Amino acid sequence: MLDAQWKARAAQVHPDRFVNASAPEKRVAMQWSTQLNEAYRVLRDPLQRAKYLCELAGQDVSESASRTLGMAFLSQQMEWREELEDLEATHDGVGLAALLIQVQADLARCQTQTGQLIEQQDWLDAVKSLNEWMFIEKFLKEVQAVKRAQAATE
Amino acid sequence: MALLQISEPDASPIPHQRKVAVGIDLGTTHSLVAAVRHSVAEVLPDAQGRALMPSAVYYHLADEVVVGHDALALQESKPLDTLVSIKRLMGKSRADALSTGMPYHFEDMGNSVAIATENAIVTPVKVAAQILLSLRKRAQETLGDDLVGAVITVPAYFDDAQRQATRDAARLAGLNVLRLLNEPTAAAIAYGLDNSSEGVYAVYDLGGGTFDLSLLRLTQGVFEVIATGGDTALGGDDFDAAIVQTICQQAGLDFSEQPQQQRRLLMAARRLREQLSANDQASVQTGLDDVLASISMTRAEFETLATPLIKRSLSCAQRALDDAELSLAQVQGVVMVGGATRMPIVRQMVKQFFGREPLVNLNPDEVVAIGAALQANLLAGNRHPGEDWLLLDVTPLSLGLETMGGLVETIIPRNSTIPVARGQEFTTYRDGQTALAVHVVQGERDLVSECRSLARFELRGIPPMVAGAARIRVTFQVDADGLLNVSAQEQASGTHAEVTVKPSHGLTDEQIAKMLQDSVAGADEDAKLRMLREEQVQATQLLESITAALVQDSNLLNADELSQIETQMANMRAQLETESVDALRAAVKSLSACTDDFAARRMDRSIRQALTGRSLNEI
Repeated sequence: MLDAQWKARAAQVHPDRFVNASAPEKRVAMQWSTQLNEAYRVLRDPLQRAKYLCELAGQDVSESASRTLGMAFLSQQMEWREELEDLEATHDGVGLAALLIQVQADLARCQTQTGQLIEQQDWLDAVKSLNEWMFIEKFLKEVQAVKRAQAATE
Repeated sequence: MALLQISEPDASPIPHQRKVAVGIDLGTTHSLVAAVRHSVAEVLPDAQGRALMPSAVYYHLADEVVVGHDALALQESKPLDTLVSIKRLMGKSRADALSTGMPYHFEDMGNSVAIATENAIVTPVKVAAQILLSLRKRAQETLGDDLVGAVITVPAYFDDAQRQATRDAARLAGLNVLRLLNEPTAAAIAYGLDNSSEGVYAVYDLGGGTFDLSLLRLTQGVFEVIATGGDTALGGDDFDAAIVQTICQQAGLDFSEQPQQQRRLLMAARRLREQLSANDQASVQTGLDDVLASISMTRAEFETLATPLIKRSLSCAQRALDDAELSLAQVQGVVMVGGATRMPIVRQMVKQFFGREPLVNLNPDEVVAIGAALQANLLAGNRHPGEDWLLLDVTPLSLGLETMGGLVETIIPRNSTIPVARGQEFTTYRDGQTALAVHVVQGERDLVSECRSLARFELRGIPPMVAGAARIRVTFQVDADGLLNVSAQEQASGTHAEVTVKPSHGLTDEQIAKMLQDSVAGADEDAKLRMLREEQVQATQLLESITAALVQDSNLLNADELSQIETQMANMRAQLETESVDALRAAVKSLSACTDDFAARRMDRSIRQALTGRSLNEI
């Protein structure tokens, strides 16, 4: 849906449509296309999209605002990180795959939760959930990086 | 193929008035020009019926040249003065040029490299302009019309300096550049429109001197480039060099200090390589008398030395797939482009890698020029009803800034859909600091020293503040040609400081202006007449497009604005009769200026109409 909308709009404003137009028209076309591509980039990525929706509601979602994270969440993060270090040191591929599945599941849970909170316009909890999401996503990337590194050495 | 129906914001052309635009493939070894004639895109041959023109230039005098086949014939006797593979030097510095191993005498000219031949000192831009000029003449003679413009193709992996240099060459050749188009994307147009394809396609483009791999998604008339990878220093030339190196090593000979002999060997190696595509063994005469009168090789020997080069290309392909987060199974077809893909070993390894037979049904030498011609025809406004498509291309390389410690801060990541703009805020690190040096780089490495330096400039006039208080926003804008513009502004004080970007490589704007001036001053009446014609075409187009816009949207203007525009239009119609270039130019400028706001309002309305009544979730 988003993809089709982006392409249909791009077809209207793309600079290729204004090759024979006057200089001001060309400039406007470039600005619109630029904005359109940026909108597509943000809306296509679930995390960027959620951030954008919270910002639209006047919430501060910068990482410095992440002090809202709960103790339970933080200690879970610590545990995961220690587990990842162990798995990396012991080259435990099976354990790594299991951790990956666990983190992916938690990410999916967090995404759904954030989506619901945004829908309910419960902004305080939405931002809190969004902050957790950012942490989990970052950690997921680290797990994937370790997995790739292990695959490369095999 | 079901093509997307797209409303036309710009004026549709008057049916009888066909605007002739050409596509030009400016290649390392060969260049071509193609155009759409009688609804078919075809390569325009020269008077002898030859489609390919060797990208070779020989200077008799500073402004008297031989181009193409005739220049190539001089190559053996004058290897240092016959310029070939000049594309490898576009947008390069002298140091870059020296590292190519090319035999020419390189000199510095401003930021660019220049080549000293026996009769002239020339820049790569000027040499490329001669090739383009020759193709432009061929097109004009064949088509018998004035050209409204050209689409020029560049390797997808060309960086900003190389693209700028190509556009400058086209300007010098008197071509109106409608668009710089990436070569694999051009090939995809030629194939996509031919085969009515949908889905993800890979274009494997191995030319004389450059390699590109692009992944495209084709859906209902939209060609969306998802990722691109490549190597601007990998092509058929490198296979020839590998042959020469191996043979010389085996014979215990070294010709690297003898350019004439080396050139003959390279030319022989190319013939040898071409023969090996059809035979298991080949032998060719080198033209050297004594020690190495002929060279020979078996196909198996050649394939052994070709394999590492092809592997290099396939690792670029793998990275593009990783970037696009695509698996090999998701690629529905592989298109082969470029003369070097005729080598059986290339086809075989590409087939192995992608797990499917590559598509080779279009001539790999011509497919890029054909695609460029189709795009040129579209851009010029010669669309047939129902025949329409849209290209969405990407930036090939990440663009960033140098930060503390020689590290790169990426502003626009590679594979961003263009046009794209992105900004980043920086601050001062000393109390009372009034200037900030900005260094723009392009590349994928973390260290500035390993990236391509594009430009350096200084932002001056920052009001003195304590360290960290200034907010300097640096904005990168990449346009639809893939060309970068950088601007910087201090925001805390609200003052705007002007910056000019000086290219680290290539020619400065002043150099280009002077070269243009020289070429005009040196030329006959023809050039002046051409300028007038171009100006007239532009003025007529502007009138047409405003007339159409007024029919549609004149209610966006108040009475004052409307009468002002009408006065300016009347003025321009009067100027069209006078045949004065300057007066016409001034009229175009003032009419453009007074319709600036109108254009913005029209675009605004068209978007609003499209988006009205939709909730965020729908979009």
